[in-house]
Amino acid sequence: MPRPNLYYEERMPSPLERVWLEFRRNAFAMGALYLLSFIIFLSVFGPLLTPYGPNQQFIDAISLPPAWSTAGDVRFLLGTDELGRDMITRLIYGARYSFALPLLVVLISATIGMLLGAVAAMTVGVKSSTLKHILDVLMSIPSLLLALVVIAITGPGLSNALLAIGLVMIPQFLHVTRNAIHDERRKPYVTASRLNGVSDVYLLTMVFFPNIVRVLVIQFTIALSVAIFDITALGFLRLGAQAPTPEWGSMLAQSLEVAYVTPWVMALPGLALFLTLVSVNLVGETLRQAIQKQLEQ
Amino acid sequence: MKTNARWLTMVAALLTLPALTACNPQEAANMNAQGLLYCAEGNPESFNPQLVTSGTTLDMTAAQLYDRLIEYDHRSNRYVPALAERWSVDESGLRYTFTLRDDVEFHDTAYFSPSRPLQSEDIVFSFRRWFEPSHPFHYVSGRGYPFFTASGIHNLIESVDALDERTVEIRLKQRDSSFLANLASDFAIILSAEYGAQMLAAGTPELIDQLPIGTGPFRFREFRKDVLVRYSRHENYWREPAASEQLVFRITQSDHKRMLMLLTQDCDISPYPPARDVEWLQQRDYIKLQAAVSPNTAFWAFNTERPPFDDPLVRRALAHAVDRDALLRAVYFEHAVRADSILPNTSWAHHPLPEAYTYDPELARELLREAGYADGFNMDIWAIPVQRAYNPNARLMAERIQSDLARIGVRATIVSYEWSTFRRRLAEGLHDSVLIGWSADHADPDNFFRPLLSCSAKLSGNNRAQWCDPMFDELLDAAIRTELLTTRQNFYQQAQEYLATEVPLLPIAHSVRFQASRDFIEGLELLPFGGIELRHARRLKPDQAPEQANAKEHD
Amino acid sequence: MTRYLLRQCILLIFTVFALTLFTFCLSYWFTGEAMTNSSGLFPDHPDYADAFAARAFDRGVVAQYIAYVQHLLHGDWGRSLLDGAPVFEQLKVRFGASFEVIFFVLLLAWIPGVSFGVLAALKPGRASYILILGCSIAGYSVPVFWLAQLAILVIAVHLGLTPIAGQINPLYEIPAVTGSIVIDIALAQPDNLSGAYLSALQHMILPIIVLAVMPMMLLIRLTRNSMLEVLTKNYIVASYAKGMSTRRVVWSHAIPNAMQQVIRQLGSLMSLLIANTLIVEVIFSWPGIGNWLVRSIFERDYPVIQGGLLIIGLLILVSHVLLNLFHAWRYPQVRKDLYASS
Repeated sequence: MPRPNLYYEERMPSPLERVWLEFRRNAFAMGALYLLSFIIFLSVFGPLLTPYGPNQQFIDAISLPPAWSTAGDVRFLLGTDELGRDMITRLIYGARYSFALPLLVVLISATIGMLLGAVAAMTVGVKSSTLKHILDVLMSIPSLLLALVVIAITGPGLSNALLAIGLVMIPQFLHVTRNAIHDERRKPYVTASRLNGVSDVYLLTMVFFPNIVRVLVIQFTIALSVAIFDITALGFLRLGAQAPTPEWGSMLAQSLEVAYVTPWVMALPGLALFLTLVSVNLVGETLRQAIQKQLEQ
Repeated sequence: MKTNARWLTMVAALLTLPALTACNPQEAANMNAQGLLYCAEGNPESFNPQLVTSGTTLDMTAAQLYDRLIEYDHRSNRYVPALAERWSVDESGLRYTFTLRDDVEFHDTAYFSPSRPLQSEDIVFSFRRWFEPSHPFHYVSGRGYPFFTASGIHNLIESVDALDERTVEIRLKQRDSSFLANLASDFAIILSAEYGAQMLAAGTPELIDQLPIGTGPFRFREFRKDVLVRYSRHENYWREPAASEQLVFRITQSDHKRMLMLLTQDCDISPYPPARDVEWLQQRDYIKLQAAVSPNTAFWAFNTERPPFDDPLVRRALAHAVDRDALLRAVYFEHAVRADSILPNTSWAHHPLPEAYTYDPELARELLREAGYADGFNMDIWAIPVQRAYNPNARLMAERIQSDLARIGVRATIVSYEWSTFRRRLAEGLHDSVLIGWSADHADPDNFFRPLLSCSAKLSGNNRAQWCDPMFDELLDAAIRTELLTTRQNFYQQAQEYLATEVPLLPIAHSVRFQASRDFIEGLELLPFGGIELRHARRLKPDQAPEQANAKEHD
Repeated sequence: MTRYLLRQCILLIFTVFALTLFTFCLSYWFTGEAMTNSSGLFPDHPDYADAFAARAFDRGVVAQYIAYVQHLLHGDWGRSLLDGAPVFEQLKVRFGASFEVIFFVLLLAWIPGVSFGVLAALKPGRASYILILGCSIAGYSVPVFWLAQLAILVIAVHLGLTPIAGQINPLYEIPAVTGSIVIDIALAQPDNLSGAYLSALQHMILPIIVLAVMPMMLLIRLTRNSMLEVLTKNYIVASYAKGMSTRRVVWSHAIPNAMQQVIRQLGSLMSLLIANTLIVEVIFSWPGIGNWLVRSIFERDYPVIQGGLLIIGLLILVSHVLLNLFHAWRYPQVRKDLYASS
């Protein structure tokens, strides 16, 4: 877009900057971004901030309500559970299990899945649309169901649940990457690069990658939110993280026993989970919109 | 499709609106005022109490479907007639003669119509089933007869014979002061010999335990696994027929769910409300809470066949590592007393030995060092998945013990399965240690030792410690040979002292047993021994006209 | 259309093949003996030897797979390892119960979802955009197990409006024939028919509402986005220019075309819904497949796990293909698209 202005040169914002601008425009998205950073901060530095251990039991402080209620105690800002454990400490530690671990798992399976997808797209190059359709349909089987099956093979437990989710995510990344490369394959700029005689690695990293990164980013945020949900759902069903682990889902499962007498023990882990999922989804949604806008321009 | 979908949703919305606005479950529940909803904790393992020891199954079957020859009346502390209208013992104490009532009818159901009332043949059939391996039904269902094997009465009985249609004679090999108590227990129920023969002829003998026929106040109608068990009234019951036409056991594993179901009127009776909620329930005026001192003991049994638990030092160390007073507070909310013997404090042979089980982590560590486990070890704690009178929340207890054990360097993991799986694996001895307990079947102290810790109990899979000590068995046998109270007391005292040194299990608590029901249920009694009797229970409120609800759905 | 139908059928066959292959492999992946895992018969069972031969476990893997599929087709899905009950019999009943919930949830989500979506599109603006975005993100993010517990506490326990467990007050004696309580009541014809229906509705209402939140919110957003896109199309402008009333334009031109996008997304919506149903069934003691599947995983009841997975997978695959077919039948232009895209 050249303009006849000699003294002022409008700079096209870079794609990353435009994403940032999109976030700035939307107060909700900004809020979600701050919240997400806060959760990341908590999962990294949380243990330094908490006054107690996650499984430290205070026999004199069983089932205390949050501090602002009359029966509360300032020592325990968000109250304690039925074993006298500090809620806020457990929630903060829970961020590691319910957010950081799924994040790591998704990162790992994304790396593996994308590599395999790229290899699959570059080597096999299946042209049949039937295979794509079959995979599309098979991918629609909910990841939770597949994770349940993996747990059935390996047995319950947090590490098995993480393994299950990771395994289930890999084919999804593989499929998305392969399809994305597949869609770009015939585009003129790719042909041009090929004619230049670049290597396959160069083609992948410098030609394809910048053009498919948006698809992958969107897939990543979806996968992250699904992984968080699945991990906590498995914890809730007592198939994931086991009893004393302060994982939000298993905290919820344990809190049910006392939910009608001490509702905060149930409400708080659920709220933490809800806020995390909202911020992940909102950030993902904003990213998607920003990329959509760039495409339209 | 779109228009169709819209249309359907409209209909659905119209149908659901009145449900939301006009009606609440109270009215709906009252429409069937003739039925009782009982929240049970698990699936029955079988419909024949002879085959089981689990209280869940007993509660659902023994007193509802069957009768026994005699019963124990806990008010007068005497044995009273039931199916046998009278009985006598000869001088030697070896020959018992029972005379049966002549008006006892078996259940008439869709799958069996009795042609005759109860006769002595049925008693012979039922008893021989568990003590005579040649009986055609002895190996049917393949579960064994844990109560009878554990209490040893299968070896005690010489013969059971019908003298005539209404007289049965039981001969014993030796005197046994707990024999009548065992006959009055929930396990010694009477089956129908006629039904048995019919099933045998049809080639489906196992149905006798799945589609039960008995003489009890209710007859079997339906069992949906994980959902419900349905009984209906036995109209020709020999006593006064049951007060309710229908009895439904809803199967709900989680105790908090059952509590909520009691509040939302999904159930009328909830047998073992969680101890943590007892106080809270007491404040609700629409909930009736009954309490009974019931002779029971919760304990932590170590599998003495697996190292390191085969070493008494290790077992003693673990016993000293657990702060049982804290358990009483956190798990029982003080609705229990600390157990310092396996025998409950209500028993006349109770002999507490608190110093054997005191909380002393220092001593525990020392004992571990002595046993060669200075760095501790890994172990499993199995926690029963259901709530029993003796233990309202084994899982919570396990978590407490887990953190206690961590203090002496023992790393414990908590294990739990669905109840029937749990019991099966437990009987196979796959556990390191288990948090379980025992509720008395009858008042005799023998019921606390023999079925739990004797060698025969080990064979029957009921000995949670897998502990077999001939010396201990000798003490028990000696105690049972005599009717003299002081002599028996003396033997049981020795037995308890022996347990305190060997520690095959750590007694934890004797708890108060609670039962919660809605205020409109009457005639519900909480018995100290055995299962729950529901034949007098019924809803108080009169039948509310079903027309009310009709009108609402159609407008 | 015939060609498209054929294509979809082939697609279905291939995906079902992949699914059965997967469940077949599970027998080998689970601990224990493959034969026991797929048939539910322990080696000491009297029929074991016959079943062993019938399932071709004495021959190669291919023969075993073929025998496995044959058994499936004959309705022999093995027996539960726990109680020896045939899996297929149980599955039929439990499938009915699960399907009923899913069906009613879709119905309940569809009407408000679509109508609010259309309304939101007709009143564009930042406020409505933010409201819709907020609601849909919240509705999509709220963990269904938490929502269900909140609903139980507030609506059922605190306000005492609904029961919380099962399909119907069990004092109504309704034998489970299809598993779907609405149909079962009709089949059983109890004395108090309307009372039974009322009780069933009260039991159903809470799980259905809890489950309907997520699809409803997604439908609102999908409908709105797709409507907004359609409303900018030339044919809409042309219709207005011809002097048609807004009502007619929206009702007969905009909505039908907007629905195309929405129906396309219904498949993934179904998958999410089914995953949520699995969890909610556990919470509301609904005697459906999810409840059973989760229980069997605890118990390691492998034949049940395989059966449950297979039937849920089938439900998803079939509903996908049906949606595709419906889509193609209703919107012929799609068929061409589908051929063209590779």
